[in-house]
Amino acid sequence: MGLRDRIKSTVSTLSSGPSPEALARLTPEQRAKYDAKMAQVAAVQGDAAQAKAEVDAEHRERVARRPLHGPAGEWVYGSSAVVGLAPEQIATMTPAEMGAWTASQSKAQLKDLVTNSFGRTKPPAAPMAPATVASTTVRDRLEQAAVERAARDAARQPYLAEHRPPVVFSRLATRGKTQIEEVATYLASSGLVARPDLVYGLYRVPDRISPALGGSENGRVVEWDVVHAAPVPLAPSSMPVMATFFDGQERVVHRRVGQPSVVDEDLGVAALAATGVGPERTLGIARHLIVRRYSQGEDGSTDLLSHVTGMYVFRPGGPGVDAMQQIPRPIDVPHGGPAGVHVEALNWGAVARAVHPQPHHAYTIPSPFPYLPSTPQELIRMYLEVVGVRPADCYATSVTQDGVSALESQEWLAGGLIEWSTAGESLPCADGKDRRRFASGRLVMLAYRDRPDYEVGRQRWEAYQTDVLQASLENGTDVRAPVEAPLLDGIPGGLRQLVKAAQKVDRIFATDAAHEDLKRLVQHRYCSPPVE
Amino acid sequence: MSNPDVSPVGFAATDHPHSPLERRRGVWWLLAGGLLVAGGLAGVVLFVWQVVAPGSDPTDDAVAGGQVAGLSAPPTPAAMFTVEAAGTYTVWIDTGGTINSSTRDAIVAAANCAATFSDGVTKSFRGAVQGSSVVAGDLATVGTFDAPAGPAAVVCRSERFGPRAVLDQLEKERRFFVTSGPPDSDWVPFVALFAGLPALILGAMALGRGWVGSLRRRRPS
Repeated sequence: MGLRDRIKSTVSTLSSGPSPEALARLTPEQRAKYDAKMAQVAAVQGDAAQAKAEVDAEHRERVARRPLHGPAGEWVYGSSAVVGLAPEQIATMTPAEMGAWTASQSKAQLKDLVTNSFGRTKPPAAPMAPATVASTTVRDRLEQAAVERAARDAARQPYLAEHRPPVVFSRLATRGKTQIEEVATYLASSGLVARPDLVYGLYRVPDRISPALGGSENGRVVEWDVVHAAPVPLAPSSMPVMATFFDGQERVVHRRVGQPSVVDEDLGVAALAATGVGPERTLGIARHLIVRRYSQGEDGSTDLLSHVTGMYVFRPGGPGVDAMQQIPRPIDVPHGGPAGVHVEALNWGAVARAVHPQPHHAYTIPSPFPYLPSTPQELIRMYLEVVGVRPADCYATSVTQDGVSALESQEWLAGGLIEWSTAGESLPCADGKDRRRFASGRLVMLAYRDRPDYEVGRQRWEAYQTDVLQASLENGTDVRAPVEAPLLDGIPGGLRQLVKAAQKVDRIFATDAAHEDLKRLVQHRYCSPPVE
Repeated sequence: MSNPDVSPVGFAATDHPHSPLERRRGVWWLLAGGLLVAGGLAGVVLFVWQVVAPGSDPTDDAVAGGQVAGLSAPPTPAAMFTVEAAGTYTVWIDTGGTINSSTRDAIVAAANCAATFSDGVTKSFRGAVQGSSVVAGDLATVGTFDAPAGPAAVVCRSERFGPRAVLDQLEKERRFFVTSGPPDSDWVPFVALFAGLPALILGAMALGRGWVGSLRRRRPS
């Protein structure tokens, strides 16, 4: 046997193990040793296979918890395929195959490191639906958007509820300082205050208009949507509107650490129930949202933040004592939400990552994922039409935010930092003027009195989500997240006082009127601090 | 790109003719804002006019002129003039061609002048001890003196001052001028700017406050 043959034989032994002839030539002691080693190898392979199976199961679970599946989910969150090979494939690998497989994995990782050093997710290379019209002008883009919308509407047909009232979004322009009075006045002048049974809900549109003018919203245009089922104008009404504010900083609900936090809509429904008001006499529960810039540090940099400070409960009412303010505290809000009421939270933020990745621009046209809704209002329409929710059963319908969000630092913002002087386009506002705007909605919230036919409707919605939207939008909303211990818990008393004093000083020196807003930042609304 | 699901209704709460509310602009705020903005703009414009625009040349009002003798050069002839009425006079030195501000400061500081009057009194002054030198283009003040009525003569020369590197500059003969009165102070444009900018900001805020105004019940027409 020459040298070459010996090398060949060694390589062959390494890759496929000793041949039966070679095994037959072993002495009993050698054979016993060989068998013992092989048993060890089998045990190690078994452990590896089990570990792999656990990793795969964990991965599948993570994929199942994604709000988006299908192509959009793949793009937003990465591949949903099980990582690597199946356990049985690994178990039967020879050392040489294992080496080659590991090398291929490392090569792929190295390539990814070189070509995408920052790990940035990129838009899909080819749009799911190629443009059906040449998208060069605004008119072409509108036409393209209409084509896509028509396709989505057609795909929804089989899932629609048999009886579904119309869904109309009336968008009102107000000034930030007087927004609540203006909304109340509009509800009266439009006649909707006299027909709360036609109102699904209302909400402050969570967009910052003229975001480059960063300060307070008092003088800025703030839009509100009133979602209703009155396709023709109603006669104006002189009935007054009552808007009761619940301050997120005030502890009106008792919660312990670890218990579910309070959802605004849950509290609103509980308060309405305590005063004997049903959804047919409710105009809406609207979170009070502030979107503005705050100074960060001494270098003059600013962050565009949105934060919810509390909520308003709108209903027809007369002058006099507001019964809702007289409800004894603490208000009883069941951990899973009020009985007989369904509160739905849909993860619009996940959809926006796919179809509206640049919040300071319009949504993408042609849509990279045209089977997904382009706006949160379209998502609301989809839900209402599929489940068949009637406005008389609705307590709340809104596009909103939760907690505090740093809008520009969201990792998914395409293009990285936003340069206001060069980026962003002017988009139509409710008063007919074009202004720059920064879309910040993350959640679609609906709260309605439940009925058996709505349960059937939600099954349709589930099927529609699975088959058409390829999504589970109830995932990742963090609604009713467990109450966490206060941030200063566990710190010695003296130091805690020091930190609190420093926080007060920090607020005093916060620029302009921002400290008034900053006061309203609490860890969990309506239930901070948690009870012992 | 408009949202196809949304029907805009504008500022319906205040603009609709049947709305019970109307927005009343804050007239006084608008007025105060307008005045502040106008004043602020005037301050900024004054600053730009005085500092950026070419100013008047002090040599236009010169009553006499001469040469500053170089460091090791013989004295130069005196600049002669007649004082009509007792008053203050200023001596300017032309630092022409000097870009480096340190060198220019050294040239001014090195200038030593003496003014002799008809009563035999001589007043000496130095660029280095004048407090602050007023600069107008290439000209800078060396100092001022009070002169009685009658003939007067001013002589200037450079004395050793500053680092070795500028000594070459001090060897050069430079022109000087005598003007009537003290130099115009240059703080006015800066005061106008520092007062004007806050006025502009406050004015803009007042205008915003006035524009937003307040909501009131609409008066029956």
